[in-house]
Order: sequence, then C-alpha cells, then structure tokens
Amino acid sequence: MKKTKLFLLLLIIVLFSGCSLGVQPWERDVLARDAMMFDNEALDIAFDGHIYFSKEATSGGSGIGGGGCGCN
Amino acid sequence: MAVTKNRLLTTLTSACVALGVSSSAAEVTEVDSAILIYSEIDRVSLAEMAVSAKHDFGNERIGSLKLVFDSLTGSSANGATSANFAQTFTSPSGSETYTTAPGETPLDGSFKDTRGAIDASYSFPLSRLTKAVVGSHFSAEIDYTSIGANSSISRDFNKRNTTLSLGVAFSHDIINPQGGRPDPLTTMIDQQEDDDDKDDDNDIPNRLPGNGTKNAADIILSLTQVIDRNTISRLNYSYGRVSGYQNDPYKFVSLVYPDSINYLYESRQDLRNKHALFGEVKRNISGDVLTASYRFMKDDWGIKSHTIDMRYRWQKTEKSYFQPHVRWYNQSAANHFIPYLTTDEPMPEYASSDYRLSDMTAVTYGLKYGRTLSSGRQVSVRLEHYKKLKNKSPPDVPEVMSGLDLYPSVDAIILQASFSLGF
Repeated sequence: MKKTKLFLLLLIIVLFSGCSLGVQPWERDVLARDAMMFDNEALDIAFDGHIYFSKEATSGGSGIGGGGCGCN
Repeated sequence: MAVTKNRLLTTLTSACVALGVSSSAAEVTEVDSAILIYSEIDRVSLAEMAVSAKHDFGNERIGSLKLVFDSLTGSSANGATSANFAQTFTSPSGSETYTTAPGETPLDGSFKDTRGAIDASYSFPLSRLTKAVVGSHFSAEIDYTSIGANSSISRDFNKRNTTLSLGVAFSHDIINPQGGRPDPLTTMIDQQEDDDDKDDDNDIPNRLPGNGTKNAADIILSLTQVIDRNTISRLNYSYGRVSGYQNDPYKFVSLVYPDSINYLYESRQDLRNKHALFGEVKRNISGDVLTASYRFMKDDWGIKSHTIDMRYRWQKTEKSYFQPHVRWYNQSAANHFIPYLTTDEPMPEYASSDYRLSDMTAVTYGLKYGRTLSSGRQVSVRLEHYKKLKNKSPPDVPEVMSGLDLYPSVDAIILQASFSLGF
C-alpha cells in the first residue's frame, strides 16, 4: 500500500510539478490531431466498457455517464 | 440503404436540435456508427450496434446523442460448482430444467436478452475558460431498466495547458428478474417437486416481493495536463457508491454434502463504495501515437484491481493505420466470494460464487486497422481476443468435485467494424 501511494505521489509530481509543462498556443499542431484526443475512439471505449463491466468486478474510472445494464 | 441512412441522419439531427438550444435547422457535423460481435466459446454471444451523432452549434456549444441496441444469447455460468455427477437445475422462470454433464461447468443455456439505450449530452461555455456538460441516459432490457443524469464542469488554466474538471452522475436502476427475485440463500426451487407448492397465482416459492431497485452515485475529479508538444496526460480520481439490490438473481451457490449438492440463491451486500485512480498518457512518436493507461480500484467488498492498457497507433500512411492493443487486468476476490459452501461451516450472511467476484486475471490482445476513404469517411475494423485465465482449484475439495477443473479459462473473440462521416 505504501509503495502504491509513493508511486502515485511520484507520478503526480512528475506529471504536474514543473512550471515548464505545457506549450504555447502556436505549438498545438500535434496535440490537435484526432489521434491525440482522449475521446477519439469513444465507441470502442464504450463497447469495451460494456464487455468488461459484464465480465469483471471493476468498471469506469475514465469518465462519467453512459447507460447502466444488468449484464450477466 | 441511402434512404435509410438519410432518415437516420435526419432523425438524429432533429433530436440534437431538440436537445440543444438552437432553433435553426441543425447540420450534423459528425456521425459515428459501429457494430460489435462478442462471442465466448461455447458460452454467451453479444451483438451490439451503436450510432453516435455530435453537432457543433457554434460558440463551443455541442450536442451529442447516442443510440445503442444489443442482443445477447447463449449460455452463462450459473455459479454452481462442477461435480462428478450430472446436475439438474431449474431455469429462472421456474418452468424448465437443464442438466449439466459430470465434470462440466454448470451453464444456464436459457440466457437471452435485448437492450436498447439512449445517451444524450450537451456542453456549453460558462465563460471563456469554463465549460459545463449536462447529460442523461436511459436503457431498458427485458429484466433491467436504468435511468440517470450526469453533469460536469471544467476550467482551463495555464494557457489552456491544464484543465481541472469535476463531474457527478446519478442513476436509478430497476431489476425485474425473470421468475422474480430469489430470496437470498434459500434453496433453488425444484421444478418437478415444487409444482404442488405453487399457489393459485402460479407464484414461485422462495421469492422476494416486487422489483429490486439500485441507486448509484459517482463523483469524478479530473486533471488534464499538456506535458509538451507531443505529450498529453490526465489523472482521474473517482468515487462511486452503489446501494440497493446488487444480487445476480440468476446465480447459485453450491451447498456441498458428502455425496450430494444443494443449490442456494446467492446473497451480496447491498452497499458498495468504490474508489478508483486512473492515469493516462498519449504521446506522439514521429507521427505514431502511443496511448497507455493504468487504473487502480479498491472497494469495501474487499476487491482491489489493477488494469494496464496500451495501444500503439502505427500511422502506416497518411490515410491508414494499424493499432495493436494489449490489456492486462487483475483483481482480488470479494470478501463474500466463496467457491462453495459446506455443511461443516455456519451459513454466512453473504455468499456468492460468481467467478466475476473471484481472484482473476484476464488479458486482451488485438489489432485494429483504420483507413480514411477518398470521400473523407473513416472506416476501421478490429479483432481482439479476451481471455480470463484459468485459476487453480482450491486444495482439499470435497469428494464430489475432486479432480475437477473448478475455474476453467474463458475465451472470447471481439470483432468490431466502425464507420464515421462528417459534414
């Protein structure tokens, strides 16, 4: 548990601590590509969410919304 | 076919207008559609279709609508353990029986369901840097109905390199199982012996009155950060609380005697609190895109899970790509998971033998191919293999199940075709 917390703390520090993170508005050409969007495969993710919800004990985590189901 | 497609677009467009605030004729800007086949070997099969339309009303106002229809058929594990003799079970309706051969995993072959669902959302700016989203969903199947609403608010900081968002979601589900809701930990009705027990209304014994209900509330806090020109990341924390009827009404727990087995309906806790952390990174590598994510979940049923997911979009040409995908999932068992009950131990308050609550590891691997056509429309197809790995049987099992594979592996094939177009 301590290792997990330490890992997450380090992850947060690495990802978000530096003031130099980020780009200027004119440097967003690559980031503007569809493939760089988190929701660019929304239907795939929704299908997978339905499958894994019905096969495993964990669901969600990446967002909210979506219909419920009594998947068996 | 073209007429049908145009009608569909018109319908979706009209619905987007109805959902939005625009009173002018709307023009659909993006439509995605897909069909998915999920098939387990010798078990359940799912066919699912989805159409999603997103319309930009201008001024950062976007309406979305998604329709989903799916159909399930085939056999599903009923929770009972395999045994060295043939086992006969009563179907959920109480009117039929099915028999499992010696050594085989008991599967209920009467499983059949269809589901229709609709999701709608609308996002709009509150200020130059702040955006809000409101959404709702409704889904209905033969034995299950779900209705819900969600909302989120997000704000950009640091030249829009950092986005902080907070979302909430609520849903209310109604469970109306075929044959009624079993009374937890009572004995499975014997279709032949209990015909005389049915009253004049043909009621099935050992049933709870009325429908079951379940309420779920979720809250999610999300931080998205642009790292550099080629990398973007996000970190989510989510908390979910589910209260109400959470039993699977079609699952049994085996009560094992020295030379026979009795079957009880499962019993789960009616409250579940879940915490999850989810981190994801996307990185552009010379035109290819690597997407990697990790999720940790912990709940008060005693389950902890880890999920690692990686996709690499290999941009073969300007208009086509291959995308291999690997996913690894591992979970620990719920406190009330038990492979079987014996008469040597006191009856627990909660017990479920549903393998989905057991210790388990599953892997998925597959490949997707996508192409942009000369018309600008995009097509893709993906083929994946999902495998729940085999678990070791517990030591010192009772005689009636000795030498049997109690937790066999489960294999499934996932095939999806997608079609997208914009206007």
